[in-house]
Amino acid sequence: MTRRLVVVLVVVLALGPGMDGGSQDTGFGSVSVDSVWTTEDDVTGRGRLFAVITGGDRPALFDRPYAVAWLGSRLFVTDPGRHTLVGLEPGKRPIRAREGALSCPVGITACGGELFVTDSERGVVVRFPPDLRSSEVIAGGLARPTGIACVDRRLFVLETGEHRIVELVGGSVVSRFGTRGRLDGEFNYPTLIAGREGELFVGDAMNFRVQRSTIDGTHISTFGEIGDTPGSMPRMKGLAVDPAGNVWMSDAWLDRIAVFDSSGRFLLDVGRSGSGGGEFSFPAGIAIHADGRVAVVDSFNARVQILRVEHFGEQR
Amino acid sequence: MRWIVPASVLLAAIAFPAPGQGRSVETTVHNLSTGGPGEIRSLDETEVCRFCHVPHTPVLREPLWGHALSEVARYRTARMRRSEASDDRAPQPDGSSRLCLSCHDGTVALGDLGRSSSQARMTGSQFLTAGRRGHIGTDLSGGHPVSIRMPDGSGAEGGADMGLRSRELVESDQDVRLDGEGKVQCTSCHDPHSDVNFREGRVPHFFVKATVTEACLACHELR
Repeated sequence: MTRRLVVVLVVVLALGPGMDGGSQDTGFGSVSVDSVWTTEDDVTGRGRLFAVITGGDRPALFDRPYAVAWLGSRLFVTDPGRHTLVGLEPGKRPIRAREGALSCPVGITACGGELFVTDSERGVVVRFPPDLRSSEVIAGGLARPTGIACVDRRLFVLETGEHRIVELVGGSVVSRFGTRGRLDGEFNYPTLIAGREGELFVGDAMNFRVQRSTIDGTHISTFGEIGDTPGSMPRMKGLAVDPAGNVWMSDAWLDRIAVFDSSGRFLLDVGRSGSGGGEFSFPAGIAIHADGRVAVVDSFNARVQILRVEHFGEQR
Repeated sequence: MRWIVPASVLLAAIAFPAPGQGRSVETTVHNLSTGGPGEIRSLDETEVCRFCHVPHTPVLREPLWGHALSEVARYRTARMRRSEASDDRAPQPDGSSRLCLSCHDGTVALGDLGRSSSQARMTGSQFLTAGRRGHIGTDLSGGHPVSIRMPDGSGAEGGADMGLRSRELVESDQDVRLDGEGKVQCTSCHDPHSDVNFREGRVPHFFVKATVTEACLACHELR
């Protein structure tokens, strides 16, 4: 019970160093912790009172969560540790994909009111309705698919094993671009993809950088490098683009979230190692809601933290 | 002309190393994938790194460890002349040595890929069984103790009777490595990713030095 109370107090009363983005000239408002979801009671809203009354641990939501996506007010989180997909909506009980539908779900995006999940072990993309009551494999035979993004209602998947991006339409591959290498437009085990308004940002994991391109594959710019300081990318695990065009990246070596503007200029970093509010252990997927909420999967703490951004800055 | 033949032999040795003797893990017996050079390899898993490391669902954060860990709670460890433990034995293995033992103690299937829902099928036995090269078992008393802390040079931590050099001197060695806590682990003398020094019957697999003597002298002084 003590641990739960500490978490609650941290969330309500305090923010860790690095959480105040407003103190820097970044165009951001402040970044704060909105909520921390570790158990079912945290989501249904009974968490704090229930923990105080009963003590003990409530049913854990996750084992080893990884990727995350918003669909309206609902949040969907993949959990490769339990080989499933979990749907969360404040005030309601969590829902889960049927057993056996997924093996190693490591990427998720919402597109046209549906959810699309990559399963890297099975080499497939699986489509789910928001109630998760059914599932359908829409594409197979992919070489370790990982990152997936919906940009301008077009679906892009990373074939990490082939070091390239593929575009899917109706389950068929309609275009491929990228090859293995270190030059612009080339990739070395790309694992993360996000985008907005005709552009893609790809986390080029083993080149320790992000590449920006048009959705047709024309390279625009490259930024990032390996290192052990904030803003470097030694172990990228999550990537998202906010409404102002800023690029958010989680790093599981640094236990921090770094924010860059769309040109790659490092703006600020959020969080530090630990298990309190605003602290991370192996942060992974990031999903950004237009209302300012940023969901970050805190994988080794087996939880999702919801950050709140006052405003994302001017649209670029 | 006299140097041409030896040079060509040297080049050939570099270009075509003996099986299991590569600088890259791909050409060593630690490559357990279908393309591995050793007797033990997978029947269906083609990825080299995956037997130990996974990017998304590691069992341990560092070093993105993906293989199932051994559940052995207590190993029989070596007797020490001077010991931190009251029973005069080396401590239980910890740190990176536990990772090595997740295959080499023989209790965990080689293809048990931790949190992965699929398991790799292997040639022959699924376990590193007694009698096979690389099998250590749960009795570690016959080998060099691991997970022991090197003295810091002040003399307060003992070790003088073993002729130990100071931790600072050991840490200055380019090949032998102590872990982050200054402990001797399996990885102090073995590099699981490189097997360039192996010589049958003379130098063990994955050894960091060209001779066993050199490894001993990295920590122990001749008296």
